[in-house]
Amino acid sequence: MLRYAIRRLLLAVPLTIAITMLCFAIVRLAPGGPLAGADPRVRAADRDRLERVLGLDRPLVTQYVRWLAGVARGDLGRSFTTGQPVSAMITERLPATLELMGAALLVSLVVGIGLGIAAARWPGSWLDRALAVATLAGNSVPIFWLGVLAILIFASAWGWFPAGGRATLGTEFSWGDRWRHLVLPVTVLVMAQVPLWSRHVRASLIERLQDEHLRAARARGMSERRIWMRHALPAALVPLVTLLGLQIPMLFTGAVITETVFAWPGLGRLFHDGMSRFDYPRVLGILAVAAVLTIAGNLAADLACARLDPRLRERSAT
Amino acid sequence: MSGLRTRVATRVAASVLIVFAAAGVFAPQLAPFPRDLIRLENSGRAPSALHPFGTDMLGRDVLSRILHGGRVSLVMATVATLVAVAIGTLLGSLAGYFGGRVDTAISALVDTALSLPLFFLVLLLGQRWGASVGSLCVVVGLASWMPVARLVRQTTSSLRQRAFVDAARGLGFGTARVLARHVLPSTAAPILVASALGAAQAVLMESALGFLGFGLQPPIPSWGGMLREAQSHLHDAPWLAIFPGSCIFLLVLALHALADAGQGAFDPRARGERHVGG
Repeated sequence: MLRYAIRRLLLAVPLTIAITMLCFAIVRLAPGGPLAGADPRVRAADRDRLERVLGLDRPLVTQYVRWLAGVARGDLGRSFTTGQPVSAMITERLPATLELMGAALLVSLVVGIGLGIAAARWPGSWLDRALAVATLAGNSVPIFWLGVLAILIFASAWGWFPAGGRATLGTEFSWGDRWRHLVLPVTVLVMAQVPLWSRHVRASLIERLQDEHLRAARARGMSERRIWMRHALPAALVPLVTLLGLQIPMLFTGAVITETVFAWPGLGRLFHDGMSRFDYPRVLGILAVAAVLTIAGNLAADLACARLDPRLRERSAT
Repeated sequence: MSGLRTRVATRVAASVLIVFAAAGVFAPQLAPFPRDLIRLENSGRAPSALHPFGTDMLGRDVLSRILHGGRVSLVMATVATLVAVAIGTLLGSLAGYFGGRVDTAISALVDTALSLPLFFLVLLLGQRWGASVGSLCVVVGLASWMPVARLVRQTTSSLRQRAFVDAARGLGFGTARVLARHVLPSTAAPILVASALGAAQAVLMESALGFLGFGLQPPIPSWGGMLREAQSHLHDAPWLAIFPGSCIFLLVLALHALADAGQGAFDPRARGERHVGG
């Protein structure tokens, strides 16, 4: 187990570096730049001076190495647009994103697993068939349109919930206010994620229930309740851990889109805004944080799986 | 009973797809108004007989823009899917056919690509090179070849052990010929299913790019871009958001339904089992 963990950890380091390199290349090799949109009346000398101050006049490789060296010291550089340290900007925005994504993930896991179990318990029932249709619809609806519709109906027409933001501006902090702001974005994210979980739980449970050893257990007179609770469910839920790891990039994607729709002051909007202004340090910093969190999440999921399922551990060790 | 229902659903989905395709192809003939005709005195009109989907803030006819936008979406989805299917089929068949180290390397590549926050990279690429339809297609295709690779790898590796492949090899055919003439034709069905799923994904991704403002730039209409413009007028002109969004939803739904029907008709898993037995 320890050897497996160390091996995976050692592989994650070059992967992270490779990804930041790719990001750097995409961000920097592209046409345009922070000075491309500047006033054409700016003198060439001033332009050169600005490039020198921002460090943009050096060869790309030097710039990358300097950036990476900074990252190793925990310094992501300063934003071109605000002059603030990028790490400070990220730590300021991260809690909002984690709040939204955490709440959405938690609710969709509970609802998705619940519905998946129910559908597997009564396959072919009205619930199972309704879930199949809902899955198809949930997979097909663009999440930003769902958000726009939710605002249209519940905020604009009926006024039940605020249309956006994390809290009402200019009011004292209150849990009720925060909660009301969470409802619409979380609901939209949950509607998009639940089909994934319920479908997997259903398929995995139905497959497990046909296992030979469970048929044998049933033949020996083991109660249906014990078969479900002690054997089928635990075995069916282990693969969900891997899926959970794979969901992390999806969560970031969801963050960019949902935060834009609901004006949620999180990392996704910080990124979106930084991209429009060619704020290289900000864009790279957020990409690096997203990549590290994603890789760490996948690693954690794989290790948890290996812990839960000894067969996986054996196979990967060889 | 359920078979009949599936058949009806499949027909409906296929019809929707054909209608969308026809609307895209004949958009210039079908559109009641020119795409970019601005008539400020007509701005923000609700749906009426003259403008069935209303007009936008510049007084442009929404139905005409949706027809032209659909044309762009369909071309994009088709080309992006072709890119994804080409990459996925090549890598997947190599991994499945050769197995061993080639398989390990390609599978690792697929897993890595699946675990990246790829959408961020697509956004970046879309912003920098996304101004044209062609480059946007390549970007979306590059981000969505992984499921195809997985599916083709799975099918190819189960085909590899079949007698007719052995026979082809035994006749002294080279690897390229065995793969192209004997193995890949048998993977056509799952590739078709994967293409439908990939096309659905491409439509969603392109509209998300447009919605975030990194897709095709105005005045070229795209459904995602129209939703973006609609966002600031949700209260006074909801039809601007309702119609383009419904189009994305319907098109993606039809593609998913067709993929589901295809999967039922030639389920790769069921096929795999039969191969092991026979």
